Amino acid sequence: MTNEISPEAARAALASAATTREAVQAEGRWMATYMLSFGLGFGAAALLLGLIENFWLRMGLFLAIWITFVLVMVRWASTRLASARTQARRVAGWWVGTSVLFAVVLFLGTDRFQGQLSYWLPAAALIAAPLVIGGLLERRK
Amino acid sequence: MTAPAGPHPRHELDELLTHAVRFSVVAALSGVERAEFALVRDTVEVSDSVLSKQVALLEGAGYVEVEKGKVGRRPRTWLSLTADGEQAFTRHLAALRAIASLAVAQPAEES
Repeated sequence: MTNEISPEAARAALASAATTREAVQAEGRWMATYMLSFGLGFGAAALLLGLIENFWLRMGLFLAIWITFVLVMVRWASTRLASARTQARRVAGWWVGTSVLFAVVLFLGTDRFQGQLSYWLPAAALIAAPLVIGGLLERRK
Repeated sequence: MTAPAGPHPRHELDELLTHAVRFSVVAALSGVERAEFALVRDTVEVSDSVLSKQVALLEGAGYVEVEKGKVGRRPRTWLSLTADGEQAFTRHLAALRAIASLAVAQPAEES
């Protein structure tokens, strides 16, 4: 490229910039997968905590599975090669939504509805919903 | 022949970004919060040393920020576009668009 750039060269430079930008942006679109995984993970954790009646068994299983899951996901996220723009701000609400619902569902259902699938199955779907919806929206961006 | 309405849009081109590799590096970073050195290197298709040299120039101009860290035991270098870099790139793209929209000059009539 020189200062005596022709219209054709300018068009080629613009096209090349768009291609390069898109290639790197594609690498930054991992948040959708991360959110969908955590949405389903939170839902599964609620089912596990709600359906197993023995306190020590459910806590032991929950901690072992949840800690492993979180470590694997965080490790995976840290190895991504690019981050999308304004990603954190855009997705924060979905994370807060699932976290708050998880806390509320557990607070209301633990002991009172322990082992009752009719409570924990819709509750798990409700907990997963914000992150799953957010993840699907993020995937479309 | 009529005189052009204003200065030729080439005067609006950013001198630093008229270099193909630097232009591509900034284009690569323009759509993301940050990107890993290796990803930019592979996308722009240059060697480590060429990218390091051009990134150093962009960093010196305040267009690119370089952040070094580690993932596990692996060293990582992250590159991101600064606000100044983004503005310069936007102006440069506008100048390129203006040049691209210029009509191709008609060859002079042979006498």
